[in-house]
Parts: sequence; structure tokens; C-alpha cells
Amino acid sequence: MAALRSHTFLESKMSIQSDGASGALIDEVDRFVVRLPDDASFHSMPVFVPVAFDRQADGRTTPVLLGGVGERLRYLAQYEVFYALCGDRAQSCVDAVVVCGGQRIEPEKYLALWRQALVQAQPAAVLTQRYGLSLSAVLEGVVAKLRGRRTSWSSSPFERFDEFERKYRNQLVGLADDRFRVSLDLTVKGCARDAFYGDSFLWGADDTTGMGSRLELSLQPGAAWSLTPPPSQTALFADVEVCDVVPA
Amino acid sequence: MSYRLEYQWLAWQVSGNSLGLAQDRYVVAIEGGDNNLRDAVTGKRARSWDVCMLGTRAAVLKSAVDFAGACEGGSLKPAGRDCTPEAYIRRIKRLLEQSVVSCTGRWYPAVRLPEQDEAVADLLGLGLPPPHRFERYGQAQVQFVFAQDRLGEFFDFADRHPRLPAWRLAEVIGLPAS
Repeated sequence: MAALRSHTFLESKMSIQSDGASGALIDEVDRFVVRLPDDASFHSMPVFVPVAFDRQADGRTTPVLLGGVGERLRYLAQYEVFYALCGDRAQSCVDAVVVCGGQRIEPEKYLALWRQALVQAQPAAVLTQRYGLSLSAVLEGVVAKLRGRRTSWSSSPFERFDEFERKYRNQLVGLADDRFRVSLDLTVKGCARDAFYGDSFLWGADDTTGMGSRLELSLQPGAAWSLTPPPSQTALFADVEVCDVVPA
Repeated sequence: MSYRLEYQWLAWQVSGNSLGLAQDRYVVAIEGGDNNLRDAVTGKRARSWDVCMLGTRAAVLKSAVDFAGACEGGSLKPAGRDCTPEAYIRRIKRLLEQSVVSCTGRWYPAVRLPEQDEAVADLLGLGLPPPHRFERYGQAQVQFVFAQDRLGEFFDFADRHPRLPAWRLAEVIGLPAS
């Protein structure tokens, strides 16, 4: 029997977050989930980009992409959103390193707020309308290394990188050392899909040194939102204590 | 895709006062196993009791939240059923409220680490009996056992090293299999 003991799952739980004692206080005052179009990836399930709004010590509110999506172009399935929250912010709710609207919140209630946000997920265009924020995918690479590279996915609209390059020729920004950068606005039809398959060219083969991709949030010109919290917050946090889930 | 099944849960509450600690400590043992591992003789799904969460109430809850993250995608199924992370956390909270003082089995501190782990130096400095050395998947390991009268030091050690998973810190014995 001993030989059958499996710690596969437990082994994966080896990097539990630190006790948070050294973590800075995060006051999450709002959240928004972008639902990307169904063709944004080859996955059969919907994919999302979670955005938290944190109030800073000086009273300003800043948007934060959660789940590591700001570090690499990643669209998250619902279960990945929860995995990311449970590995980070929901744990920090336990010792109030993460609070909501200045109030302490239990981790399960915090997750319930995000579940509600997932149910109410909206396209990226709504994020722009409501908060003045643009969500874009930024891809960087070395043109010479990518030309001729074939896609790995049968669902890709681009058979080779060259087709992606042709479609976005006018948006490619040349950088030093034959590098390029292209920024795709995810409110534009087809861009979320093109960014996903464009990204697969960057990471799909041997030498990807110096290449990168990420999701970025940027404030629209003229939008003054970041200086003051959205007006809907008071009503939002009135729900915190009653938001509940079905008991196990 | 494989997933983990959990069959039984048990929590012990250890009085902090009796150990000279400011807060009570909890030890949560769970009987579980992978869905696709079966006993070669009985054909029954393989399962074992392991200490999965250990420490202050806050430390245990953080571990519970970490585990709960696997529920949404179906990688963790308590009692073989789908479960939301929120419900899993509530389950562990209820377990802590109903923690036992005594039962048929018991837990004991047994710290098992790779020989090169940085926490080993800390353990050697505690003046414990010489560690038992063994190999696991070809890697040299050491096991330190704390006597019952040194539980306070054991929990202090666990507090100092929150990155160490509970199943590396303690073992259970004598609990009834499902």
C-alpha cells in the first residue's frame, strides 16, 4: 500500500504563500472581468481577463491585472481565475493584507465577489466605456527569427507568421536589433484572437530569447478616472456581508 | 485528467497555553488519493491519511484557500463531488470548529526534508535526536522527530518556515481507513 501513496496533489501545494506579515496592505475597491470573444483561443470554454481596482495610500485608485496576465499574454478560463485568486489575494484576506473597501473580508466571501464579477463579465469595450481603460495585447519579437514560422494550431487564422506580419504591418513598430512591437487593441473585432495566435508564434519554437508578450492596461487620453474611485462602490460593498455560496 | 479525491477529514486543536504559545494550533489530517491510482490487490482507489494543514488558525485557513483553488477546475473533489472553492473553505472552517481532542488515531511531529533544505540547519540547531536518513525518489532525505514535550518548539519551527507544506512536518497513525 505504501508504494501506492501518492503526493502528486500535495507536492503541487509546496509553495503556499508567505504569512503576509511583510506584504503591503491592498485595499481592493472594485473589480471587473473582461470576457473575451469566443474565438479568442482554441479552448472550448470562455476566457477572461480579471482586473482589480486598488485604492492607494494617497486615495488614488489604480487598476491591476490579476493572475499574472500582465506578465505574459494569458487569457484565463474561469477555473484559472479562481486558482490565481486562491494562490494570492484570497489567502491574503485571512490576515487582512487584502481588504475590500477598507473592510476586512473572509476569503470565501472575497471569492464570491469575484464569482459575481465573472457572471457579470463584459467585453473589453465596456471596460473602456466605464473606466476609460484600454486593454491591449503587446507582442514583441525578432522579425528575422519569426518569418516563415508555421503555426502549431489548425484553428489559427495565420498559416505562417508572415501573414500576421502582413495584416499588422502598419501597426508594427520597429525597435533596435531587428525587433518589433505590435500593440493590439482588444476592443477591436478579431484582435483578441489574432493576439492569441500571434503569441503562439513567439513561444512555439526553439529560440525565443528576447521575445515577449503581455496584456496591458492604459488610461485613455482625457480620462480622469484614476484620480477618484468609481461612484458605484458604496452600493457594491453593501453586498459583501450577504454574498454567500451554497454550503458544501 | 487525474484529480484528487478527499474521503475523510479530521482536525486536532492543540492548546497554545499548554505549549507556552500565544495562539492555539491546529493539525488537519485528510484521507485522500488520486482518482486513477488503484490498489493492485483490491482494485480499490488508493488513499492515505496525510497531515495537510498545520499551524495557527490563520495558517490553516491560508492552506485551505490554497487547496480550494483546485476545486473550481475539478482537480480536487471532496467526497468525490464537485465543489466550489468557497464551499471548500467553509468546510475546513467548520472542521476547525469541531476539532477533536482525542480519537482512535493520533498525529505526531515528524519533519521530513531533503538533506539540502535550508531548514535542516535550523533543525540541527534545536538539539533534537540525530535524524533518520533515507532516500525518496533518489533524493537524500532526513527525518527529525520532536518528543511530545517539545511540541512548542515544533510549532515555532513550523511558524518560522511557512513555505514547508504540512505533510512534510507531521504524520498521522491509527486513523480508520474509509
